[in-house]
Amino acid sequence: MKHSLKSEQTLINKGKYEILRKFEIAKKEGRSALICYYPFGFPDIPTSLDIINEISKQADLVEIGIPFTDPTADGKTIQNAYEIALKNGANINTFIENLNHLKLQCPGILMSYLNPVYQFGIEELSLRISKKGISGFIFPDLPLEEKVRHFNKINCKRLPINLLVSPNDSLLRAIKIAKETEGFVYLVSSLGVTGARDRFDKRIFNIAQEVKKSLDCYLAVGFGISNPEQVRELGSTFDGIIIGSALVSIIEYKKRSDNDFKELKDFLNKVKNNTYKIRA
Amino acid sequence: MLHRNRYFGKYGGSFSAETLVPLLIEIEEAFEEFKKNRQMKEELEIMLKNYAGRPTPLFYAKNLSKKIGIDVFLKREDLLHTGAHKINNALGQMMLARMMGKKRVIAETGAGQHGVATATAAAYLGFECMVFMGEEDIKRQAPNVRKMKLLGAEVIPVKSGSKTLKDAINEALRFWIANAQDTYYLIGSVVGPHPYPRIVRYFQSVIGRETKIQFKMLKNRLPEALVACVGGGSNAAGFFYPFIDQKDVKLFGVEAGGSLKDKKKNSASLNYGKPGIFQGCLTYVLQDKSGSVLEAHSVAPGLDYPAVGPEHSFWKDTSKVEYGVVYDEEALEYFEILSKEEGIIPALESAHAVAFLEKLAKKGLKEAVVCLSGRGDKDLETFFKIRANSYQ
Repeated sequence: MKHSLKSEQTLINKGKYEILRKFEIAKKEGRSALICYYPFGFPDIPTSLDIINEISKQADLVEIGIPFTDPTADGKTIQNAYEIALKNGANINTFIENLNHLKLQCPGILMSYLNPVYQFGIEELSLRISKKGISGFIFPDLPLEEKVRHFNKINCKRLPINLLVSPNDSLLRAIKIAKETEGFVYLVSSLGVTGARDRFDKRIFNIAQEVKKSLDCYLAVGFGISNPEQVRELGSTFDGIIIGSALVSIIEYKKRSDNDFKELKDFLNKVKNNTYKIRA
Repeated sequence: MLHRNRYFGKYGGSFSAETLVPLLIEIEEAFEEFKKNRQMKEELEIMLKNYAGRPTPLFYAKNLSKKIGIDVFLKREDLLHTGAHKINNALGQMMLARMMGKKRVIAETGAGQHGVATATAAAYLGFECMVFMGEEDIKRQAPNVRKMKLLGAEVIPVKSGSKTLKDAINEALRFWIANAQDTYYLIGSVVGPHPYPRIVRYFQSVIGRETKIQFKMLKNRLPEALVACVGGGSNAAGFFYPFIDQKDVKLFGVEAGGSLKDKKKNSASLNYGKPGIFQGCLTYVLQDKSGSVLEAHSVAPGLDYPAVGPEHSFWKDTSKVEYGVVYDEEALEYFEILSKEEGIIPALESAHAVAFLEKLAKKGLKEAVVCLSGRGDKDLETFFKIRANSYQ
């Protein structure tokens, strides 16, 4: 019994440590952490693994999306990518089969709708993926209350779960979530599904400031961030910037001749440069 | 915080995007307030009576009884305004939307019945209305699409996934996430995140309550059995709920088995699915080994859904309700039989429940009340396309 309690601590705490350390390093370097999302299986399984490995050279954390048939929190870009990925046979089981091709240079985070993980079993999954450099989870359909109900059992040997905060959350709720998250706090930039947009919800800036006042935690912002200018703009408020659909779009429109992901690398370079905070 | 009481046994819950959680809490508060407010409940009752046409008759189907060899009573929800039980819930939830000060309601629809009911209630109560409908369903249910447009609703064709009911719900959820401030999502079945399964069952329970009173007046006792079709399961939930703890009343839910020619494609999640997390709740879902949700199939678009309301999952596991399967071919046969025997054209969804009577008669049951949840005008085209050779 004592033994299992200890190993539970190990898996969650180890993952948490790996994630938070990247934020600390970025902070020391005077920049915001760069978190990049990419879906497994798009445009095909081997290419997606190459892309994820490539991204992990520039990013501080790489989110790997597990394709799902009903991605209700995602916009057209990721919906289309998931549809193609599923046709390619990409799912939680084939992801596990392909784990050996994952050569991550930074900690990975598995981003999945709950059902595939529920079917696979979160403990077994945590055990397998933690051996290949994945340090945590993001579940877009898991709010605070259900996380507490389903995943807070003692003895649950799993990786840490990073929770989301939305602009329409009350400050009280946002703080509750920030206390319960096991890595960083994922702030949703504005109401809506994933995908490029021009404007962000003012309330999320306010939530970020207020949460920071009462808690020592790392805040990353995501949803709709598609260009280096936005990265610079948001970097002054947030500890981390999450980019997703924009990377998928680059691969979507990639020229056939572009085999070494030049466009993607250029984009990542520009974005990374803009994570450095301008000193006044 | 989301309410503790959001589960039915292990099923249900609120697995939604965080953006929707503040709204779900707000809706639950409005619902609790509504239940305590006598004036508002009276207003709804008057609307259900004078506008929607309640109570609906409980009708003894003497010809059908003779033919099948079991006494059949039909709870005539098909006689309601807009032709199905969906109006009960649409009017009820529209009052919640009004309490919350929302100007716009959105809805998903499969057969078009819930879409028409919502468009109707929106026209009457002065809401802007958008209905999400799969492209496949738009083709199969053209008359209902025209009705919605005439009623002033905007019909949004959904092109993603299987282009049917589940995709319409996905798209409605996406729209709602982006327009949470001014929009109320009027969900049409006992599905989705808490508090929806409870809200829809509450507004549909009028079906069961009336049946209980009407049957008692007729026979001075309770019926032997109740039968209702189950897609998401709203008519069945409302019909069964007032009887759920009545041990002497047998309850039968009927799922759509799809075509006999291809039994792999069906909509019978309680019979052939397993528990999973889908569209906001933990419930039985048709899915593969990796947790991908399968495309459902049924000739009845209102049943064409790969999951089911979480309370039905609970009722199945606790054996409070028995869930059977009826195939497309059997439903089509009884679509025709009920028309010819009683002069009542049922919705293809309801025809599944009627067809199940034959199985109950074989089991030795003597009497059953069927929830005739809707009328079949919308299905004529589907029927005559399949039976083109028999009617020339």
